[in-house]
Amino acid sequence: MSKLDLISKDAAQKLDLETKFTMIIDRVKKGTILVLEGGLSPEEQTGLINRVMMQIEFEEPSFAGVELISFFNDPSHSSFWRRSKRQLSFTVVAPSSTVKILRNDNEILSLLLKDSYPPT
Amino acid sequence: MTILSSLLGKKRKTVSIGFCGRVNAGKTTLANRIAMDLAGKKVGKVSSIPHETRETNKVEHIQLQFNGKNLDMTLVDLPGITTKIDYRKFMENHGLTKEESIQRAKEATRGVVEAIKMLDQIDIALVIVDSTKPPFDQIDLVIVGNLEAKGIPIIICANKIDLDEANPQLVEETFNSIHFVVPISALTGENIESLYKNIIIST
Repeated sequence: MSKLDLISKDAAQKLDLETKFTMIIDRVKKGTILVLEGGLSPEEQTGLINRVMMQIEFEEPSFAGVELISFFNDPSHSSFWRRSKRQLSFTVVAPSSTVKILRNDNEILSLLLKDSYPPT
Repeated sequence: MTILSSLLGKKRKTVSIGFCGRVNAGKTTLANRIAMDLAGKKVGKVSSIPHETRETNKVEHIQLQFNGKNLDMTLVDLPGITTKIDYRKFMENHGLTKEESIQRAKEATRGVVEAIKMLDQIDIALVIVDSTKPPFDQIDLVIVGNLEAKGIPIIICANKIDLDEANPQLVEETFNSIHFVVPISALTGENIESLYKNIIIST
């Protein structure tokens, strides 16, 4: 069974960067899908990717990384990139072994949940 | 310019050109295309198996002459950036042994870390986008966002236009308001002159 946690913007802002990364990775490694209100900036996302790479495991059951999706809250602009820069709304971080992205076009994010991770 | 440098002639500008992007977007193919075209050299090995480039490859002193301007380039081919690496995929999809797969995955994780670090050390970034896929991938946004924050000039290369399913117009619509977008085929060299022109403009 999958679990979803929504972390409020206020709660996320109280955490320093390292604590935030640790919190995200610890939860995702347990199979939780995280929704971070306010999102992660591109620099924060590369910091997170760095730490995810260091946590990847090569023994069963293994942690193979994350799906990382950011969503934006103003679909009125024609340029996806322009609105993505300025209107970051929330970021989803999910274990890649549990989640398959079916659709992500910044209007609809559709995720398929698998039950293969973590093993029961 | 100093008197001495005036006497010695114009000093040729050297710039490092980074090839950045997702895994299997065609970074090494494009780097090879440019290096072969301008200097008869290759930068790295190309493979259909993901994460073929697991270490940064550099080729120095590639001379670009375009519209009367000279540029001394260092081509920096970075490993692909991703958020996930599952060694089992190499076994299932590419027939590698478990040992080969784990080794490749370990090297690939180090490659991603290195690629992110190297984003700080390039003068111009060519962000290679596979135009046969929707350009809304988070990795492209993360790379471009980081480069913008560092103030590094960006050229988006909408690659693989030789394929029927390519949609470079969508890549242009996505990024064109902010950055140069060049539809290109790294494989065939189609539109490479336009890329050279944009590199010169960006320096």
